[in-house]
Amino acid sequence: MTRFDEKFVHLCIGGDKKAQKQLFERVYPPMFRICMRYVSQHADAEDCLMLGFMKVFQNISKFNYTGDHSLFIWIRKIVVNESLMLIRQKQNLMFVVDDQSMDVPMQAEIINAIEAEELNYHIMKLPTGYRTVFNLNVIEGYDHKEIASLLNISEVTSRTQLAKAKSKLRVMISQTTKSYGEPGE
Amino acid sequence: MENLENKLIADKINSLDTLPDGYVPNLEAKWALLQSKEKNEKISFLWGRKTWMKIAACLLILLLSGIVWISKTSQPKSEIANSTSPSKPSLPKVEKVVNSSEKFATMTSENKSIDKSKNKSRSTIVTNEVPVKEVLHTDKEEIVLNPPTIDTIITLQEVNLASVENSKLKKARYTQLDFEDAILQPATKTTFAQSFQFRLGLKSSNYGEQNSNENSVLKLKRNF
Repeated sequence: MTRFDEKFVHLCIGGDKKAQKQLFERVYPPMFRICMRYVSQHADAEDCLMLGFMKVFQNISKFNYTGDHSLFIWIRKIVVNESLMLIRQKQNLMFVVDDQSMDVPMQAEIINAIEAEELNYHIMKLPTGYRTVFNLNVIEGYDHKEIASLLNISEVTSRTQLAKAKSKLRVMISQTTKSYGEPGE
Repeated sequence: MENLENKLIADKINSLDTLPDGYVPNLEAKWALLQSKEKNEKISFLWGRKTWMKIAACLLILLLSGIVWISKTSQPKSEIANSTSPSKPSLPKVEKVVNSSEKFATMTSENKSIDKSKNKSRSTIVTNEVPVKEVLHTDKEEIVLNPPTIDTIITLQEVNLASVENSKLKKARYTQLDFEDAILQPATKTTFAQSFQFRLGLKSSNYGEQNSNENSVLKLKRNF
């Protein structure tokens, strides 16, 4: 998580263009990654990011500094909201009901063994509904009540979607580890 | 267990703070685009605000001009109404005057006998006088400016009944008895007493003229 000291944050709040440009350049790559996890396309992610940064620089005077991570977390929230708005606009939020999903336990060893890029790749391969709930719950740290209000769904739907997303991810990861572990491949 | 699993996944994903492979965006161009969009938004916001202010100002001007126009158009009507009302023919008033004069004529004919008896004690009636100025006597008909009261009728009857000779005699007699007239009779020449009165402010400068123009019969009576 990117850190910003108080002096730099106050420069940005005061409207210093150099500081704001530096902030934009430092924050752009991780924010692009976040957008990509939600919308899974470069063009959409860029649109989300530009809209998010516009909101950031319009409202940066209202931001209150509470710690080195506070600015990054604030920008992240804005970008996530913009991504969710784009998903709603494009009506991509489809909650797939898959009865064949199995509750396969995922061990910590398997997660540690897999690369971050590979894990990210598998998450992006999930259906939009699963992926959105998974991202919001596991990575952003929202609970099911918050997710339900954000996506305008019931808490039960959010829970089932998360369970199914996890089981599918386990299957996908287990398949890759199997393929890695199998001799001769 | 589940929390540990979530934490491990989140840490792994959050560690990705670089751009994906094969994607190299032009950050300078994106920053310039962002700045231009911000400016455009500011301009559009200001333009919108200015236009609304202009529209409000135009509406205010229209409203004020309308009020001024209405007030200007309504003024002449009232003026005309005011000017026309006094110039209306005063026929009813004339009629009233005629009626009153008729009444006066009837009253005079009825009271002739009474007046003859009262002729001797005229001086007592004259004390209840009304200014004679209000009544104008002509040869043919009497024009009464104000409707006469009973007192005025009595005084007028007295004036009519008195003969010219008697009036001359009386006038001569009263003038002899009037002290003020004796002082003011020579209007052109000012005596020492008259000038002293002017200085004290007891007499007005045109007193002599007024006194000379008036029909001073009753005045003299009062003084007497």
